[in-house]
Amino acid sequence: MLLFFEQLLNGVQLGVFLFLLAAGLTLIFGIMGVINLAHGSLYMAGAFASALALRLSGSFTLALIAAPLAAGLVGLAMEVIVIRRLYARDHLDQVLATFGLILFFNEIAAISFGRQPLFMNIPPALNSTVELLPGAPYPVYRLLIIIAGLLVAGLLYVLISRSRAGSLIRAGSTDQEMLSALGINVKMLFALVFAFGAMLAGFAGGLAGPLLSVEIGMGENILILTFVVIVIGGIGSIRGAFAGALLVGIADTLGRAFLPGLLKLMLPPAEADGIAAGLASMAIYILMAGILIWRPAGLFPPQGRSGA
Amino acid sequence: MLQVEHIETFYGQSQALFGVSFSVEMGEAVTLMGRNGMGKTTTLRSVMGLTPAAAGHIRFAGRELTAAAPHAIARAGIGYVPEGRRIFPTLSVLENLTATAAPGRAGGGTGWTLQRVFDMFPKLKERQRQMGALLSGGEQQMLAIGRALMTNPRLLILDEATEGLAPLVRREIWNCLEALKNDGLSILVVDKNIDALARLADRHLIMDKGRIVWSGTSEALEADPELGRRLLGV
Repeated sequence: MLLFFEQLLNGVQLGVFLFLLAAGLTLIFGIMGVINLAHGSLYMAGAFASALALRLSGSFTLALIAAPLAAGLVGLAMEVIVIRRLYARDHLDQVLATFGLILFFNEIAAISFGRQPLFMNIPPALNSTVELLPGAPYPVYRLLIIIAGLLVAGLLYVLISRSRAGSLIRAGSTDQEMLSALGINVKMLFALVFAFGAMLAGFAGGLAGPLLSVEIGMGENILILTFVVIVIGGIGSIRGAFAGALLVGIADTLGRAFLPGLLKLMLPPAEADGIAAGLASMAIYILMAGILIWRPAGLFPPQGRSGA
Repeated sequence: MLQVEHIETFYGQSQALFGVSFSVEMGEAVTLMGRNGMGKTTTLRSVMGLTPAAAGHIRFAGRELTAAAPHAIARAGIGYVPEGRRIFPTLSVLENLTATAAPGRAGGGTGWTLQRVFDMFPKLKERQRQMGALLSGGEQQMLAIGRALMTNPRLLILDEATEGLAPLVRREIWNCLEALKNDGLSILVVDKNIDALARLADRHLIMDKGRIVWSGTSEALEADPELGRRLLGV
């Protein structure tokens, strides 16, 4: 039971990461119609920026500020130089161009930081555990990630649903031409939304630094999970991204933790291990297929729009 | 105030406007009439920069707007109420009014506030929390006008101001436009209701096959019933 609780929290923590990535990706895909495969590169940019800032300043707080700032600037440049030209193009062009960006960013990272992974230590103040339930110590740093992620999710929800910037973003997802005819510079709005999504991805990268190694290609694995999240949630929906991220995070973590044990109850240990490993890595795709059969447009498709 | 000179506009290869010229003066209401497909909507879209003219000039308040982006044209002081209203469906009535509002722009007359829009259209106040998609046609048209007014334009452009609305709602829209005109706002309006247009506007333009083929005052328009049969199909 305690183990389950701990794994559940780990699942939530993965979910929070996925949400930070998915929020930007779903806004960019839902509003501008661009499939940005290089979203993972922005996550990587955040991780490298925080590693560098930590090495130079020794301050973890500064590192966590540097991560979204750097990713936001990289994102802004990416939008102005490349993405802006892709809005009117078809999805294949977008996939090819943003795949090219992945190669570009990986090479830039290799030239600047070398191919060896960088390791960030969890700051000593946060490197302890706290007992949430008696007998179940949980790392403070992971708990902080959960809290930070939930805070960002709450802020984002208020921003999108209550603020004027949020209403412009929602208006832009239905009728950009009308928005421009009312005096809104839609090009600039898109660039800012893109940079904002990049900042969220960069923040996730900064948070991930001490848990994973900061290395080239770290964005690609999590990008696939992120796409699963936004498809499950309904493309363009922040609420959907949140629900999808938690579902995927928990399903993936619990699957890996408990499937081997469950299967061993029924099968010989050797076979159970093999099958469980396969099933665990398939779990989120099975989840996605099931949800799409039930709700083809995802859990929370944005209202007022036909089709995708 | 608005000068349109010899604009030619294309959709791909096919030409829709053939040297359209007209002007709207300060405080004036001008109508654009003609049968369907004669270029009225295209003319308005060209003025707004949504379907840019390939040749000719568009000037507004002394500024050259020929190649300007739509948002720059709107910011120069033109409020646009498009055909089909195009209310933002996922925004509430309140958000539709405030999202693109520009209180500082105050082009002509007094600045528009939420309160003034609600005074003009009390129904919008009652429904301010509802989503734009849930409004009736008449309410959507009121909202589209209110939304444009909140950008504090000097010229209001309306495409099919009362199309598809019930007679009572039409009268309400015409009364509102009359009040706006008396307030000093310039208006360029496309509609089919000749009687109401003749009462509202000073000058009328009739389009046929991408050209302006007749222009004149309300008296001239009403004095020539043949005109309506030949060019307006009424």
